[in-house]
Amino acid sequence: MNILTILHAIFIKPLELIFELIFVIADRVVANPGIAIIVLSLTVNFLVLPLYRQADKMQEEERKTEEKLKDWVTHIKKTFRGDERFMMLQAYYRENDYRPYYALRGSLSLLLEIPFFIAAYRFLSTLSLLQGVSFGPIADLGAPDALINFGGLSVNLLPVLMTLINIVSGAVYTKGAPLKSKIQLYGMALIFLVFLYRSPSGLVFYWTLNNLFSLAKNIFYKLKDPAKALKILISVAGILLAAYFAVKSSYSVKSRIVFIFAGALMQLPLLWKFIPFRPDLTGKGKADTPLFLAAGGFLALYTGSLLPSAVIASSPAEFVDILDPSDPVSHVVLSLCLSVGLFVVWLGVFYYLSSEKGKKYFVLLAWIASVAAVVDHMFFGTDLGILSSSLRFDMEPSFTRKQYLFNLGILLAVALIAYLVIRKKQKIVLALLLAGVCACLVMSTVNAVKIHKQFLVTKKITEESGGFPEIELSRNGKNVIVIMMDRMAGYLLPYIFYEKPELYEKFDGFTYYPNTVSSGIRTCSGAPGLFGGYEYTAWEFNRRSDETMVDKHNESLKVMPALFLENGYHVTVCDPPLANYEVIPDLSIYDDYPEIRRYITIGRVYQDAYNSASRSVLLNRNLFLYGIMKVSPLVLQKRIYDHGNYNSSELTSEYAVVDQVDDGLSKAYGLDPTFMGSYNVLDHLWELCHIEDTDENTFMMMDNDTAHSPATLQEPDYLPVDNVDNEAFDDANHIRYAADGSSIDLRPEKVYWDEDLSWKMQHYQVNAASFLVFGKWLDFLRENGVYDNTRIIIVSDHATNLELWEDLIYYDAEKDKKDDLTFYNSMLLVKDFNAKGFTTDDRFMMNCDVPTIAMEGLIKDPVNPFTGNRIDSSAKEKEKIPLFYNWVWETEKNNDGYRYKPDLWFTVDGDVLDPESWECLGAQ
Amino acid sequence: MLLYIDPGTGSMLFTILIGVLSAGFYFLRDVFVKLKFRMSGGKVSADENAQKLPVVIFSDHKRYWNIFEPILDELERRGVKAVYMTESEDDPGLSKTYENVEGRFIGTGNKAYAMLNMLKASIVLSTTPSLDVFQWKRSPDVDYYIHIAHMPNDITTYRMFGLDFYDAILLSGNYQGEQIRMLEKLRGIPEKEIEYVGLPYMDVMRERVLREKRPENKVRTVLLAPSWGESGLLKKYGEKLIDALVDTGYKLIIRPHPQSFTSEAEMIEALRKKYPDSDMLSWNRDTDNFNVLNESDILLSDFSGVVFEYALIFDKPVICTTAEFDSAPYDCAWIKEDLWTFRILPKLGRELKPENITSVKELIDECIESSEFAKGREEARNETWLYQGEGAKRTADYLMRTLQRVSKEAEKQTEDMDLTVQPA
Repeated sequence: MNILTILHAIFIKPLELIFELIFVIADRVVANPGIAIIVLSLTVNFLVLPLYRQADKMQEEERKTEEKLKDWVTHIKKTFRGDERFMMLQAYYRENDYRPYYALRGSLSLLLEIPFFIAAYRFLSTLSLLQGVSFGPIADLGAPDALINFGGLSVNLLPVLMTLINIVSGAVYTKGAPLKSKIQLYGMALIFLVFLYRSPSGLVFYWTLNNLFSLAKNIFYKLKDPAKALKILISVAGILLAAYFAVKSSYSVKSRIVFIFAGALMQLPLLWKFIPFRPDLTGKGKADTPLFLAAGGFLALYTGSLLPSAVIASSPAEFVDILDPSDPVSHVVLSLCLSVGLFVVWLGVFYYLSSEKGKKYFVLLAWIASVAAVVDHMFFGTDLGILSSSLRFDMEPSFTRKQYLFNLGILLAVALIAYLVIRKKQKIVLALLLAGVCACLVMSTVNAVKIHKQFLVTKKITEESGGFPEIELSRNGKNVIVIMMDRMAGYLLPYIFYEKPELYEKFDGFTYYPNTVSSGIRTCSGAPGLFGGYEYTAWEFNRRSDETMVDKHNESLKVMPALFLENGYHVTVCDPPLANYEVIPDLSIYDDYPEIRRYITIGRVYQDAYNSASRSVLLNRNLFLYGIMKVSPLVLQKRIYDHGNYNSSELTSEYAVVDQVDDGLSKAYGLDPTFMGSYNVLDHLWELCHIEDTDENTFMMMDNDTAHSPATLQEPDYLPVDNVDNEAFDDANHIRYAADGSSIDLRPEKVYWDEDLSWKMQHYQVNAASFLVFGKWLDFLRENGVYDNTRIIIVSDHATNLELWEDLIYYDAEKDKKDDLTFYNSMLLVKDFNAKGFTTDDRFMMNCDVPTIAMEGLIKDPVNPFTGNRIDSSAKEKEKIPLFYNWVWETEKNNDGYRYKPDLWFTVDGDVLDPESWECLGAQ
Repeated sequence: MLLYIDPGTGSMLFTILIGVLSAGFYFLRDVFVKLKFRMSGGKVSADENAQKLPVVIFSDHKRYWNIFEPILDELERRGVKAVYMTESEDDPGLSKTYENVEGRFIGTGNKAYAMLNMLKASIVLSTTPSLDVFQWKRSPDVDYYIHIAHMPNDITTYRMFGLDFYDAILLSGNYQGEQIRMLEKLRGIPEKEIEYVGLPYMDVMRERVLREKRPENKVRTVLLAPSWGESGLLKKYGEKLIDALVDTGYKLIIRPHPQSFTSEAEMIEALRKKYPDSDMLSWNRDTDNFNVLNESDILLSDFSGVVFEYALIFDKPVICTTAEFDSAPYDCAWIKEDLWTFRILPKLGRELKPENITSVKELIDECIESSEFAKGREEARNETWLYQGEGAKRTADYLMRTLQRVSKEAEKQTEDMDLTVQPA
C-alpha cells in the first residue's frame, strides 16, 4: 500500500465504482453492453451537468476578477522586485478577497474532467464485458474499431469521429472567446485523439458520446432559455420512454411499470411550477458546511471503516493469505479511502459546486442518511448468517414483504424525526454527528488493533506450520486414515453414487452409514466428538463446565494421535480443525508430542494460480459495498449484495482466478479461492502420500473443506473450470435420483429461502466433486498396494442444511428460524482392512463412533489419556444423546469460556430422516 | 502569476515560518485557553488579562523618538501605563526616566517582528507603515492598530498599501483624510477610523522657536542644506551653486547631509578645501539642527521633509529643486490628483533650476521680501497643521478614549465566548 494507491482509492476509485455500478445495472436491464455504454454516458453526463454549469460560472467569475485586477497586478509586477513584489501582490489580492490558487478555478472544468477521464479510461479499457462484443458496425467493443480498410491498412474511424465532434463542440463553445481558450480546447481535442486512437472502441465510443453530449450542451447554452428547452426535452424523452415500454411486452411487467413510472417522473421538471404546493424544506439561513462535512465523514467512517473492520475483526485469520501473509488492516484502510473519496471528496465537490439551496438539501439529506444508516444497520437484517472471507453469506439473504414494509415505515418515521431535529435544534445535530465520528474512529481503531494482533498470531502460526505436507503410509504394516470432510452431507451420497455409479467400484470395501448424526451442527460442536469420542459431545462439553472450552476442544484433537503414538504408530496430523480455537489451526497444541508430524494443507498446496493481489482489490471494493448494503433500506440490500457479487463487472479476466462470480444458477466465471484451497489438497492427495516399504504402522488424521465451500462446478464431471456452463445439463438433470427411486430437486420451483437456489446446487456439486477426487486417490492406493492394509474413515463433523425435505424442518417460533434437522446427518464411510464390496449399514451411528472404529482391533481397550475413561461406543446405547442446534458458529461468541450459550437441543431415536424420530428439548 | 516565489527569498521563507509558527502557537494557545475555561468553570483567571498590555508604542528607529516623546510625556503626565518598544538599542527613549512608561529594546529585523507578531496588547501606536504587508504582521492578540504620521504633508507617499491594514490613522490635515478615503474607495476596503490630532512633534519645535529668541542677522543668512546622492544639490550643482551664493554677499551656512560625510567624503573634502570656513561661510555639522534653522533667513535644499518644517515651524521661505518624483511604488500612484506637496510648494518659495542659479540673489530676495510667500505659508499651515499646539494632548485623549472602548469590546467578546463554551 503506497501513497499512489491511497490517492487512487480516494480520488479515482469512487468514480470507477459509480461507473461500474451504472454500467452493470444498465447492462443487466438492456442486456447489451453497447447500449449500456450509452446509458452510462447519459447518466454520468446528467449527473455532472450541474457540476459543470457551476464550474463554468466560476470560470467566468474568475475571468472577470482577473480582468478587474489585471491593471494593478501589471503595475505591481512592473514596479516591484523580489520579495516586495510577492508581498505587494499578496496584499493586493487580500484586499480583493482573492487567493492566487483561485486561478485554478479558471481551469476548473478541465481539472474536473481529468479524474472522470482517468476513471472512465481505467474502467472501460479493461472491462471484460466488452471483450468480443459487437455493436452495430463495430465488431469488438474490446478492441480498436478498424472500421476503414485501405488495402491492409486499417484506420480507426471512431477516434476521428470523436475528434471531429470535439472540434465542432469547441467551436460552438469558444465562439467569441479569447484565443487562449480556443487553443486550450483544440489542443485537448488533439491530445484525446492521440491518446485514445488505439484504445478499445468501447472506451472511444463512450468518449465520443460524451463529446456529443457536450456539443448538445453547448448548443443548448446558446439557446434563449436553455432551462426550459431542457425541461421540454426531458418531458418528450419521458413520454417516448413510457410509450415504448407500454407497448413493448417482451420485458417483465415489473420493469415495464418501473420505466413507465420513470417516464412519468420525467414530466416533473416541466410541470413543477404548476404544482401549487411546493414546500421549501430547507428553511432560512446559509448552508451549514461543517454539518455537511460531519455527516459525510460519519457516513464514510461508518460504511468504509467501522463495518468492514468489524467484519474482518470477527475472524481476521480468514482474511490472511496463508502463502503471503499481510496485515488485513490494509483492507480497512483502503475501503475507508474509497468511502472517504465518495462521501467526503466527491460528494464534497458536488456540494461545493451547488447553489446555496442545493447545499442546504445536501446537508439535510446527508443528516437523514446518517440517521437512517444507523437504524438500518442496528435494527434490520441483523441475522443474515455466516459471512465468508469473500463477503458472501452462507445462505442468500431473504426478507419477507412484511419486513420490507416495516423497514420502510420505520425509515420514514426516522427521516421525519431527523428532519424535525435539524430544523428545531441544528446545534444538537453537529454534536451528534461529531460524536458519531468519534465513536466510529474509536471502534474502528479497536477493531484494527484486534485485527492486527490476530494477524500477528496467524502469521506466527503459518510460519511455524511449515514444510510441504508429507503423509507417510506403510506398505507392510497397517495404516489408519481419518479424514474429516467438513459439512459433507450423509444424505447426499445415494444420489451422487446413483449419478456416478463408477463410485461404487472406486469405494470398494467401504460401508456407508446413512443413519449417522453429529452432536452439533457446527464444527466447534460436531468435530470434538468425531476426534475424541463420546466424552466430547456438545452436551458433555457443557457438563464438564469447570474446564475451558478451548482446552476441551484441543484435548479432543489429541486423543487419537496420542493413543496411536503410544502404540507405536507413526502419526501425521493435517489441519486439526479450530485447534486452539484458531481459524487457521494452531499446531502448537501438539508440542508435547514432538514425534507427531503436523501440517497445514488447506490453501498451501498447489495454489500457484491464486492471485492474492487481485483478490485484495476486489475485497477492498466489496468491503465498502458490504458496508453500504448493511446501512441501506432492506429493499435495496439484496440488490446491492447481488448474490455476493456486489454488482461487480469483473466476470472474467484478471479476477478469474481470484473469485467465482455466479451468473444465474447454472453459469459461473472464475474459481472460488476457498473451494480451490481445499480441493487442491484432495486432488493432489496422492502426491502428498509417501509409501514406505516398512512394517511400521501409521495413523493420519486430516480435515478438509472441499464440501464446505459451495462453488459452481462444471457438470457432469464436477470440475472447477474458469467458465462453467451447466445450463443444458441442469435443464435436463436438475432432479437427481437415488437407487431406491427417491428424488431431490436441485432447482425446485418452490424454495424455502427466497431465491437461494445455488445453495442446494453448489453443495451437491462440491459433495460430488469430493467423492470423485477421493476415487482418484483410492485408485492410487490400490495401484500402489496399500489399499487393503489401510483402514479409511471419511466422516463429517455435521452435514449441511439444504432443506430438501420440508417435514424435517423444525420451525423455531421464538427466533423465527427454520432449523433443518438434516443438518445433523453427517457423512460416515468406513473401509476396514481387506474389506470388499460397497455396503450400506442402517444402524444408528454417531460420528463420535470414529475413535472406536479407528482403533478397533489395533489398540486393545483404549483409554482416553486425558480423562482416564474407556473409549467405546456404549454411550449411545445407554441414553438418547442431546444434539446441539447452535446457529452461532464463532467460538468467541457462542460460549462463555466454559459452556455453550443456550440454544436448541434435539434428540433422535430411530431413522434420522424420519421426522417422527426427532424430539426438541427446547433451548438450554 | 500563480505561486510566484522569488528564488532568493530566505527571509520570505522565514516570514512564512514565523507565520505558520505563530498561527500554530495561536491555535494551540486558543485551545488551551478554551480548555482552561472549561476546567475552571468558565472563569477567566486574573493574570490571563494582566499579561495583555494596554498601550504599546512601537518605533522602528530612534529617529522617530521626536515623534513619540511628546505623546509619551503626555501619557506619563496622565499616569497612563504604556510600553515603548524600539528597534534601536540606543534610542533616547530607553534612557529617559518615566514612572508609567516602560522602554523596551525588542531587537531588530525579524527578531523584532517575531515578537511583535505575537504581541498581546489593547492598542498599538506606530509610525511604521506597511503593517501586514511586509514582515510586520498584525498580531491576533492586538485589538487595535493606530498609525501616526511622521511628516506634515501627503499621507499617500508610503509604499503601496502602506496604511491599509491599520485600524485608525491620526492625521493633521483634512486633505489627508480625503486621500485615505479615496484609497479605501478605489481599493474597495473598509473605512478606517480617522482622527485629526495635529502634529505633536512640530508643536514641540514650534514652542522652542517661540521660546528661544532668534538672533538678529546683520546680513541675510542663507542655509544650504542638501540631501545626499546623485540628485543631491551639491553633487548636481556643486561649485557653481556655491560660487553663485558666495557672490550674493550673503552669509552662507552649508550643512551637508550626515550621510554625505561617509558616502561622498571625497567631494565634501574637496569643497571644504576650496571653500574654507570664514566670516561669511561656515560648514555646519551640529547634531541638533535647531540653531542653524533658527539662525538662517532662507533655506536652499532639494525637496525633503525639512522644507516643510522650515516653512511651517520657522515661518521662513524656501528655495528648492523639485526632484523628479516617480509615484509608481507609492500609494499616491492610485490617485490621479497631484500631491498636495506639489500643489503647495510653489506657494512656499521659488524653484531652483539650472538656468536660474546665476540669478540666485534675486530669487532669495524675492522669496524673503514677497508677502505672497508669507501668505502661502499661512495657507499651508491651515491646510496641513490642524490643532497647532494641541497635538500631544489630542493624541493622548484619543488613545485613552480608544483604549477604553477597545477594552470594553474585547471584554464583551470574551464574555460571549464564555457563554458558548459553557456546558448546556
